[in-house]
Amino acid sequence: MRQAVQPLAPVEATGPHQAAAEAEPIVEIDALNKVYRTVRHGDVHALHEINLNVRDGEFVAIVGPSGCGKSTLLKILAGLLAFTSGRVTINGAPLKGPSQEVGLVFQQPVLLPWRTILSNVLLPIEFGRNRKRKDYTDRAHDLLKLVGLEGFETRYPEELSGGMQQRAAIVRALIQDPRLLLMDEPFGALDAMTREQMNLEVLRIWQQNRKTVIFVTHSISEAVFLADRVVVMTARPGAIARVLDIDLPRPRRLEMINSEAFGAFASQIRRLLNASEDLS
Amino acid sequence: MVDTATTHPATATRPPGRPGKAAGPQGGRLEIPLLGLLRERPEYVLSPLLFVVLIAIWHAAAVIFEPPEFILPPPGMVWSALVSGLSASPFDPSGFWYHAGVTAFEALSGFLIGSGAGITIGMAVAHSRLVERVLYPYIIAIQSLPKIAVAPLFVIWFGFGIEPKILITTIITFFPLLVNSIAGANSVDPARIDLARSCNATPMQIFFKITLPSALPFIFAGLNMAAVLSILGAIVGEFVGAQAGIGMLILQRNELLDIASVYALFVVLAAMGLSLHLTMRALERHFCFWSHRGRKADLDSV
Ligand SMILES: Nc1ncnc2c1ncn2[C@@H]1O[C@H](COP(=O)(O)OP(=O)(O)OP(=O)(O)O)[C@@H](O)[C@H]1O
Ligand SMILES: [Mg+2]
Repeated sequence: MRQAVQPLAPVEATGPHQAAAEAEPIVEIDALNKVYRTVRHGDVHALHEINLNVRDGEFVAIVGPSGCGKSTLLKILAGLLAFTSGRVTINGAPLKGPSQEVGLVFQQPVLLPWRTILSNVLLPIEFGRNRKRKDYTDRAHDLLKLVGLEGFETRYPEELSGGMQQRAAIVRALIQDPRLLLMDEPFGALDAMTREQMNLEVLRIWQQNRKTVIFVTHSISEAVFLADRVVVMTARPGAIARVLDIDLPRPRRLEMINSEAFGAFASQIRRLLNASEDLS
Repeated sequence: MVDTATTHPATATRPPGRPGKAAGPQGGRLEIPLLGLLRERPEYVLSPLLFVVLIAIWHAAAVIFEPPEFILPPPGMVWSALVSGLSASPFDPSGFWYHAGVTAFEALSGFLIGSGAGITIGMAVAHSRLVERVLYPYIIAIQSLPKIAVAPLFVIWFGFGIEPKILITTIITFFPLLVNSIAGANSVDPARIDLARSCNATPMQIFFKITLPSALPFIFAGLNMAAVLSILGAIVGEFVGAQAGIGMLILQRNELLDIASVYALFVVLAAMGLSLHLTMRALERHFCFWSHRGRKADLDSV
């Protein structure tokens, strides 16, 4: 792929505040293939020869037509799905199953309706190794405050709006302080205005906590607005068409959407997506 | 007991009924909270009203047509039978409490065993798609059988004690919970499972923190059905052959043509069924408040 693979030699000197381009890769994907074997439709080649490195602290967006394997890729990275061939390394270690270092946000909030917001947010703590809930309640309160959900700790999910529920889901993904945050169309179900708000919020969280984010979206402008790099995928089989560096200045502001540079990126991505659609 | 007709609380308290002399200053004070209640929760006013009206019709029919008492005893007679049946000590086999206790014990034991087994086996079956597919045709076939048909067999096997009744009730309550537990476990949003798995949840944790609570609304639907069936099972078991229980007592009084007592026993059965139902509803409100909430909110907004 076009991004330079970082030398594997120890580059210890790079601090967390170093530019993303110089940080070491947190995710390395090499020649990844995923084939779903189904009885009715035969083999579905969902991912074809995916190569992608994501550097520590980077914000990567993935766009692509429906069915190109975006969710499949995220599920593999989350350790929920076995892949067919290739090599995936997270934090230098080969991927084997779910990890505390990875937080996951779905398109729907997936909050448990019988738990309060606080209890939902602390759910990951109750799973896996023995950990004490109370060691994490302070962090939960801080994170809820960060996303503007202070005072809603004892409410139940259905008493919250869709946007608020999705914020709670983000807090839940952050509760274990993962280095990598995987988001699969997290705001797809929200209206345009709430969505813009949430985008700003995600950038704020990302900047404050120095996470690495892989963000799947259907929205080209969302991808350009948020990301350092945009991965454009094509369908049948799902493959990477191009990876674009978005060198818009940070912090990003909503006005930038109207800028010429922004428009240029957006139309370039649209052309790539249309070209792949014409092929199929 | 002629009281029921002459008191006629219906006419005295029915607000829109007669504006004439009934609506005196006293009536006025009574009317305002009642009207408020009628607007807020009309069922709390209308349900008792319907009861009074039905009893009045019954009484009128008994007075006007004078049917033989072994066909339709007047409500007053049924009331007396009920009072005398309930005034006996719980240890006196000639009163109602003793037999109600026996029937309640049979129904509750069968209900607990049957629904407990239904939930456990249902969840286990749903855990494996293969087991579920293999067993499903049998489950459906057995479920469509009228299971009370085996009652006479159980009496031959286990005699006239309470065991065959508990067994029938167990079988009869088992199936709704088996089927509903399977349906409930299959209805769990796969994203909830993914969420738990992505946090390294063990299968046990997934079951107790995700699958079981998600399936609770289905399980409670099954429990409500089973609650009704449990009393039915106990009564049918007693009909086939028993030494005690409401079912046995109904048969006995029936043979004596003491029909007023039979009607009084229906009232006892209805009270048992109603209290079981209310208990289930309270439990459901407590454990499944989150699935009720939506429906209640919908009602409020109408
Ligand atoms: N469990 C499965 N079994 C068989 N095929 C599957 C399965 N899950 C996904 N697929 C197929 O794999 C391909 C990629 O699916 P995936 O859900 O990853 O797409 P996506 O890019 O996330 O699409 P969307 O944008 O609509 O969410 C699709 O063709 C889909 O039909
Ligand atoms: Mg998807």
